[in-house]
This record gives sequence, C-alpha cells and structure tokens, in this order.
Amino acid sequence: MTSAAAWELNDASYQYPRGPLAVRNVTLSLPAATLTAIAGPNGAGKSTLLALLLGHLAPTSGAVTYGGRALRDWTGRALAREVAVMPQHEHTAFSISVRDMVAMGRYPHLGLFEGERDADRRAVDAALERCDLEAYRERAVDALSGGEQQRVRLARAMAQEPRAYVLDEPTAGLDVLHEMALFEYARELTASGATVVLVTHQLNLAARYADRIALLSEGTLVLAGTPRDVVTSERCSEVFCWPIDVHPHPGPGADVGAPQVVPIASSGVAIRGGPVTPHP
Amino acid sequence: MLRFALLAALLAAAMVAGVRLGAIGLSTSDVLHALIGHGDATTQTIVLGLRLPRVAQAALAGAALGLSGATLQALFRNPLVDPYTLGVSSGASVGAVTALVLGLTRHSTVVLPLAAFAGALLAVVVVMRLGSARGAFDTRVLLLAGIIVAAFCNAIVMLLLSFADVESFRSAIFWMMGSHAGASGASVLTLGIAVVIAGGCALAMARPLNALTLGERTAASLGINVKAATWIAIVAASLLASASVAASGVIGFVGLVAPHLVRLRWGSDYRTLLPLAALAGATLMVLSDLLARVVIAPTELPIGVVTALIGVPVFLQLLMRKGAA
Repeated sequence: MTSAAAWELNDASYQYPRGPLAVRNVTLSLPAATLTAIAGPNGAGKSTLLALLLGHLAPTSGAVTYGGRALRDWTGRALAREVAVMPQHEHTAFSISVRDMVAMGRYPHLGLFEGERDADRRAVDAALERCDLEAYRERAVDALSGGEQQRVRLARAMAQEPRAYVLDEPTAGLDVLHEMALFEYARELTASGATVVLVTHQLNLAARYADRIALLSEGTLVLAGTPRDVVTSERCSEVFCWPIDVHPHPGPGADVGAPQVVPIASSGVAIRGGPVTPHP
Repeated sequence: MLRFALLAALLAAAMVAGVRLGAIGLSTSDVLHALIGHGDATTQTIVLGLRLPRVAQAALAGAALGLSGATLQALFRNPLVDPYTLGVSSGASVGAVTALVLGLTRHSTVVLPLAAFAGALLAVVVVMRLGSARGAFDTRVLLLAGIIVAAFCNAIVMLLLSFADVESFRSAIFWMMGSHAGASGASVLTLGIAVVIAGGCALAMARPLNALTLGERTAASLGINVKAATWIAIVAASLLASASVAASGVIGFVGLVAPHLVRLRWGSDYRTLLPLAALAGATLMVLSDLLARVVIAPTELPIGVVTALIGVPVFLQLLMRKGAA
C-alpha cells in the first residue's frame, strides 16, 4: 500500500474522565482510497477510536491527524466536507421525508441562509439514484425498514460528496441482502477513490471486502494489515476468547481464498437435529 | 409558497376581524377612517388606542410562542416540549406575583412586565446552569431541571399568594390567566423588537435545528457547531417566551399546538416550519383573543380558556385524521 494516509494516529491514547483508558497508545495509518475495517470484541475501544478519528474526542496523549492536520485544527464544517459519517443508530424525532434527509448531506456546503443550488440538487439526486431510493423520495424515513433507513443514511453521506466515509457498524441488525449490499457499496466507494473506514463485527465480510483490517483488543491495536495477515486462527481465537478456525473462502468470486472464520461450537450442541448430549 | 400565502391571509383576516369586532362592532370603513385619522373621536380611541395594540400584541405574542415552541421541540427532540419547559412561565409568575403582592405595581405600568420578564430570565438561567453543570448541555438534565425549577417557583407563588390581600390576590390570579387587555403602543413596540431579533436568530438556526433533531453526533458530522447552535437556539427561544409572557401573562397551548398544526399539514423541515409556526401561532392567538372578548361581551373570558377549548379539539381531530391515513 503506497498511497498517502488519510488518517494517522501516532501513539494516541484516550482516557475517559474518571474512567477507563479506552484507547492505549495506538499508532495506525489509514491509507487514502482504501477500505479499512476496524474489528474487535465488544468493549475493545472501536467506538472511542472512531470518536478520535472524527474529532468528537481529543486524544489525552499522542496525536490524531486527518489530511496531515490535527483533528482539533479542522472546523466542523471543513471536516464535514471531507468526511461523512454513517452512524450506527439514529432516531428521527419528527417525521422527515427521504429526500429532505438526504438533502441534509448538503449542509456543510451551504451558507446560513443559502438555498439549494443546482449542484446541491444534482448531488442529492445522484445519491438517491446510487442507493436505489428514487421511488422512496417522498416517503417518511421512520416508516421504512431498518435496511432501507440505513440506505437513506448512506445516501445522505454520499450527498455530502466527501473524500472519506466512516461507517459505524453499518450492517448491525440487517439481513443478508442488506448486509451484502452495504459491503458492495463500501467497495464501490473505494473504487471511486474514496477512503472508507468501517467498524464491523462481521469478520468474514470484512476479510472478503476490506483492503486492510485493524484488530483491536482492550484498547490496544493487536495488528493492522491485509486480511490474510490479520485473520488467523491463533490471533482470532486469542482476541475473541473463543476457539476459531480459519479456512480460505471456497469461492466462487473474486474473493476466493479470503480467510473466513469459523468459531467452533462446543461438543454438546445438537448437530443436524441429532440428540443433544449434555455437558458433563 | 402557497402555504405562506394561505397562513398570512388567515392571519390578516383574523387581525381585521379582531379590530372590527368587540363589545362595539365597527364597519371596515369606520376602521379605515380611524386609521387615517378621520371619523369620530370614540371610534378613533377604540381602534387606535385599544383594539389595534391589542390585536398587534396578540399576533406578536402568538408568533413568539410558536417560534419558541418549535425551536425547543427540535432541541429536545421531543414533541411534548413547549415554550414554558425551561421554567419561563413559572419564573415569570414569581416575578409578577412578587411585584403585585409587594404593591410595586401601583405607581407604574412597566413594573409588572419588567418583574415578569426578570423572573422568567432568572428561572431560565437557573435551569440552564443546572442543565450544563457537567460542561456540555444534556437535554435530559435540562428537561428535568425545567420541571424541578417550575415546581419550586409554583410553591413560591402559592406562598406569596397566601400573604396577599384580596386585591393583589385577584390581580395575581388574573395575570396568571393571561390577557392582551393591557396592550399599549409601548408593549407592542417592546414585544415587536424582541420578536424581530430573537425570532431572526431562531430562523437563522433552521438548518442546525433540522440536523439536531437527528441527534448531536449526526449534527456534528454534518458540520454543525452543536454547542453554538444549541446556545443560540435556547437563548432565542427563552427570550421569545419571556417577552411574550411579560406582555400578556401565561397563555398556554399556543406554543405547543402551533408547531404541531404546521407539522401535521406541511412536515417538519425547520426552514419552513419556523416561519409557518410563527404565522400559525399569531393567527391562533388573535382568534382566541377575539373570541375571549366577544363570546360573553362585555365580560371577557380568560384567553387561556379559549386557546385550550379550541386548540384541543382541532388538534385532536388533525391527529386522528393523520393517524387514520
């Protein structure tokens, strides 16, 4: 990977006030125009790391930069033109149409009293089209299914026309179709030159779609590298505290050979409807 | 644009009716003559001295409450919030009742609105201090602080009233029921300035408010300066509500219902919701004031009775129709 870094963490730590040290001395470079997945067990510090990348939190020691500048030197508006976020949860307090929600992605490009310009309308239309939401334009966001709502949030991020995307567990609670579609979108974004950072518990999809995986455990960076380097039986078993086998993806498809994790069930579970043997 | 024209026309019609109708009915030509300084002296006094300031004050107070309610509903991401959630009405009551019970209002007409305004702002400042005790605003703490401060203020009002003589007791009760009867050129001008400045600030926050209805993190990721937007919106909403209460006492329901009437019909985009809620609040208030004056003329009903008696059924009907659709 020779491309320039979008984000750079240099010995960055974050300790919550009177709380735990959630991120410990992480040095990590997130290269531009690549798809990096951030994975790790619950409580590994993924959310805190994201908050550092977005400037919501300032590192208590070390440095975090985007585009070569410390996050604290970015204004919210300037950063929002560069980086779009797709949040994990979002509750709409009042009913809002899909079109209006996606148009909010243009806010960082608009002045206080400025109306939508042609370029803004084009960006919104393009985002709606790319996420296959044209038929939903006037529908209320809160009346859509979880997968559709997630697509609306992705479209809003696209309407921001950023250079980088941060997707926070974008497939949590989604079915196979929407899960696959989201990883395909993420891949497409990278192909069009965007940097994508994706927090996920889906190790198998991350190994198939991501260029790089950063594995966190207890606030420390265990390893960052290509899926083949990171997703190994020993490392995954250790980090997730569960026996895990890793097999190459059998195909078909371009991702043949990608490492796929298979957590091993305890000997007591029922197999193909067979009788359950209780644990001694 | 049609919706703006529609509501503006409704407001204009309500204001014309408000000036024409009352204990003494006037024709449109009577009103027009009085406005350009012709006609008999009694009509001129009724139009210029009484009804015009009254209708103008009602419209401004309604607009202020509509804007304030809509703004706070976005900040709290809660449709049940109204302009008095931050303690404005109970704080104003403490101020007004204190002035009445101590007899400070006998000498000048500006004492009562000033005392109410000061009480309202004091209550909001206390609520905001409690709500931002840990550095940043926490809307849940803010909401709770508003309820607690209101309860405390209400207790003080009760305490003051138990020491009051019959006359100030009556005045206090009437003040707390709210009325536009005391409107004057000066009250209209003061309220007008507050509505223009604080209302302008609220309107400027339309996009940040839209983003804030999705949560602070999302708003920040859309480039909104959450802290600044929250401060500006809270200060503007508090000033609007306080100025309205200072001019006309505590009038409930308008600030809660006006934004919802607009939401149900035209959606929740704050760029259109805020100005439409102002127009709807103004219309609602002018009509309620008119009804309060004419239903059992020459006696006046408390305007709060009218706003609730009309507002509740209208609101419920809209809600049901929306629910059935």
